[in-house]
Amino acid sequence: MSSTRGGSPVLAVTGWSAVSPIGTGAAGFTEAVRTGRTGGADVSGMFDAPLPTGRAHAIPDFRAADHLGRKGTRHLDRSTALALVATKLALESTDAAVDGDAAGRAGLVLGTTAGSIRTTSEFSRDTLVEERPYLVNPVMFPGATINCPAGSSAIRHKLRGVNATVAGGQMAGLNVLRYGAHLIGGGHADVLLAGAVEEFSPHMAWGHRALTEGYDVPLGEGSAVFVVEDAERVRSRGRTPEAEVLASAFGTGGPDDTARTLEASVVRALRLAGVGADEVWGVATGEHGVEGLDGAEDAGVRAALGDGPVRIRVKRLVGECNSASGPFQLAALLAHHRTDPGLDGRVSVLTSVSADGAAGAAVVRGHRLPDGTVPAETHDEEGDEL
Amino acid sequence: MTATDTALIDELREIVADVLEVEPEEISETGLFSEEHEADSLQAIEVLARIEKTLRIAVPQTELPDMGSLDGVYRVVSRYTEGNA
Amino acid sequence: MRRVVVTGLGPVSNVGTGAAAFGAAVRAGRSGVSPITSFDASGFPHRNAGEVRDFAPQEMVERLDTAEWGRSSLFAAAAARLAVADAGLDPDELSRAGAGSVMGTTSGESQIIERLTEEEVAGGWESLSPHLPRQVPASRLAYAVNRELGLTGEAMTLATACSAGNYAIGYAYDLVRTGAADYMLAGGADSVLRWAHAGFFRLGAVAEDVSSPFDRDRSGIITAEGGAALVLESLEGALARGAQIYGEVLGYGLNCDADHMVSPDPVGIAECMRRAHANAGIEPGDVDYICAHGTGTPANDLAEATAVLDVFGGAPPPISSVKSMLGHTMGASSAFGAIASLIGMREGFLPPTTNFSHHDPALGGIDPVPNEARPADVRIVQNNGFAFGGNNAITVFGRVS
Repeated sequence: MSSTRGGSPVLAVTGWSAVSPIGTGAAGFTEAVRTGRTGGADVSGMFDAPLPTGRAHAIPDFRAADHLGRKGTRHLDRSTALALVATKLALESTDAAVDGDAAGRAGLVLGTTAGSIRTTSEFSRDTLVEERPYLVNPVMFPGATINCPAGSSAIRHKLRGVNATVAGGQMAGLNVLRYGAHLIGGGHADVLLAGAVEEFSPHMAWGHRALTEGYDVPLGEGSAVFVVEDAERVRSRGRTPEAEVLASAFGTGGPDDTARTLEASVVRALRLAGVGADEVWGVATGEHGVEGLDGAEDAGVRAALGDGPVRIRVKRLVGECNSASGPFQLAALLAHHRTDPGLDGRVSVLTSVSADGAAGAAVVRGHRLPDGTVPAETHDEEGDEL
Repeated sequence: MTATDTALIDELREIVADVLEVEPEEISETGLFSEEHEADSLQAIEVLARIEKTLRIAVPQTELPDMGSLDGVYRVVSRYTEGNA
Repeated sequence: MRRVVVTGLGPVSNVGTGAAAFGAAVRAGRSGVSPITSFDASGFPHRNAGEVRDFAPQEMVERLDTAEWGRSSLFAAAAARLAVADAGLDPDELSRAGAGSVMGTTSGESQIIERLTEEEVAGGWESLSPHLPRQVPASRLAYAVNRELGLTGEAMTLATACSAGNYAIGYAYDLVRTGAADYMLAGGADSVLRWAHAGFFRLGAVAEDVSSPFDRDRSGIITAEGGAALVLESLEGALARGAQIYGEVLGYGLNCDADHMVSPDPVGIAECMRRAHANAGIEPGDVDYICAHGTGTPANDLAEATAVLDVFGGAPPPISSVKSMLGHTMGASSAFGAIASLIGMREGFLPPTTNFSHHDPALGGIDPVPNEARPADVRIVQNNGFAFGGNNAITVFGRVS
C-alpha cells in the first residue's frame, strides 16, 4: 500500500465545477444533489450509429459552443469539449492565481479511462474503410490521443505549468488527487485543476453493455474539476478553502482481496489524516452496480468505518461515469457541505475500487463557505441523504 | 474562367471555410489563410486531406507551401485534376 | 527526503531485450526497424516500423494470463519482471514491501480498440467480442505490473503521450523520495498501431525507411513499440542490500507549451530544461550528455536544438537520439532514453545518433554523436521527453560515486 505523507501536502479545494447529466457548474450540481435529481435522457438521436439502449445518463444538449463561443469548437471531440468547459467553469469559480507569471505554475491533472475511445475508433475505422488507409482526418488525430483534453485545456486557458493525463479508470479521482498532492509538494506546481472527463458514445455504450451484462447500470458522462492548492499556503494568505483533502491511500491486490485492500486503505488514510473513524460523517462510495464489486466495497467500508456514516451514492444520480466517478463523488460531498451548514468542519471519506483489484480512499474535510458565496437556491437548511 | 473552374473554386472555398471555422464568404481569393484566419500547419494538412477525399485525387504534401491561399489551392488542385475532369 | 537511485533496468525492445542485450545494441548502433507485419501496411506508401518481432510474453511473465491482457500491458509487465531480476530483488520481498508501479503510455491498449473497430466494421455493433472491452482501459498497464509482481502499492498509468515515460519516472521518484513507497517500477509501454501510423503519415511525419534525427535531410519518425521499466529505490536501501546502482535520479521538470496540440515550441521546451535543472539542483554546465527526444521530424529536432542552444549557449553537451535505432516507441520512448543513458553512464559511452549523413546548419553547433557510440565520462545526464499537447517532461540522472 502506498499513501500520502512526507512531502505531499494537504490539498485545499479553492473552486470546482461539474458538467454532468444532472446539472452544470458547482451550483447546478449542488442543487441537483440536494433535490436528488436523477439523470436520464433520450439518447437515440445523438449519433448515427445504433445504441444498445434508447435512454442513458448522457447530456444530449451539451454544446461546447454555448460556453466557449463558436470558434475552435466545431471539430472538437466530445471528451475535449467537456473538459474545456469544466476547466473553464472551475477557473471562473476560484480566487487562485492562474494569470500572468502564475500561469507557469498552474496546470492540470486530468483523469480518463482511455481518452475519447470514439475518436480513436473512428480514426482507426477510416484506415479500414477509406480507399487508402492513410486517408484519415488529420484534425481528429490529436483527439485520438489520450492526452488531448488536458493539452487542449492548457492551450485554451494558457496554463503553462504541469500538464498531466492519468489513465485511472474507476480510480482516476484518487489518482489525480494523490498525484496532484505530490506535484505541489515537490514544487512542480502551485495551482492544479484536478479532475476527470468521460464521454458518452456508441463505443462506450456497447462496451459498457458487455461489462455490465446482467445488471442495469445506466451509462453516464461528464466532467468534474477541482482547483487544488497547498492548504497551508492558501490559509497563510488569508484565503478560505471550501474543502481540504487531508490524506489518501491506494493499494492493489488480487481481485478477490478488494474488500481487505479497501479496508486497509481507509484505515491508513484516516491515520495519516489524524482522524478517528467515529468522526466520519459520510462516505461517498464508488458503486459499480455490479454485485461482486459493490459487495467488496461495502464490506471494506463497513470493516473500516462501521455502519455509522451516511452513505452517498452519487452514481445513482449521474450514472456510470468511469474515470469521472471519483470526481463526482467528491463533488457530491462538497454539495452536501454547501447545503448543510451543520457539516462545517466535519470529515468524510471517498472510496473507489476497480475490477482490476485496486482500492483506495481519500479523507476530506469540508467547510462552510463564507456568507454570500453560496448561491441562494442551494442555501437550504435541510441535509439530504441519498 | 469556365463554369467548371467557378464550381471548383466554390467547392474548395467551402472546404477551406469548414476547416478554418469561418463562413465561405470570409475566404478571399488571394489572402493567406495564416494571416487572415490564423490557420496553422495542422489545418493546412486538413485542407489537403479534405480535398484528396472529396475530389478523389492525390496531392503530395510537398505542395503544401503553395496552398496557403484559395488561389494557391486552386492552382495546385488544377494540376492534379487535369485529365480527371 | 531520501535520495533515489536506479538499481534495475528492463528493456523489451526491437534492438534487444534485457539490459545487457539492449546496451550492446545501442552501443553498436543496431537498427530495430523492419517492414510492418502486425497489420496490413500494403496501402501505405511508407511501410516500416519498429516492431518487437520476437516478443513472447508467455515466456516472460509468470503470473499473468496472457490471453486476458493487451499487448501494451504485457510489454509493461514483461519489462517490469526483467527490471526486478536485473535489480537482484527477491520477488517475495518486493511483494511484502511498499512497492508499486507507474507506467507511461501514449495510446494504452489501443490495439484492442482497433480490434473492436475491425469487428464493428465487419459484423456490426452486436458482434463485438464481449471479453475485449475490459481490456481497453489504459490503467491496465500499471495494474499488469502490480499483478505480475504481486505488488500491493500504488499502480498508476500516466497517458501524457510521448513524454509519458519521464512523467512516470518523476512520480515514482517522488513516491520513493518522500517515503510513500520503498520500491517503484517506473517506465512506459506502447504498441504499434495502424491508426497511429496513418495519423503520423497524414501529418507528413513518417520517414520512408529509417529515422535520421538531427540530419539535414531528416524526414520523420518510424512508429515503434516496446516496454521499458526501471527499478527505483532509496540510496540507503540499495547500499544496505549491496545492490548495483546505475545512477541517481536527481530530479525532473514538467511544463506545458500551452501553444499548439502537435507543434513543439522551443520556448516551452527551454523552460522545461530550466525547471529540470533547478529541480535537480544543477547548472547547465554540469550536464555531460543530453539524451534527446530527437524524433527525426523537421519540427521537433529544430525546436529541441533551438531550446538546447538557448539554455546551454553555443557549445552544448553532446545530444543524441536513440530513436534513430529504435524508432519512436511513443510513451515508452523517454524510459528507453533513461535506460540507454544509465547504461552509457555506467559503461562510459554515449549512445550514437545513427543514420546521420549531413549536418543541418539550422541546428547550430549541436553534436549529435553521429553514427558511432563514443567513449565518455558521463556524470550527469539530461533525458528529454516532449509530446502532443505540449507535454514536456525532462528527467536528470547523476552518477553515484
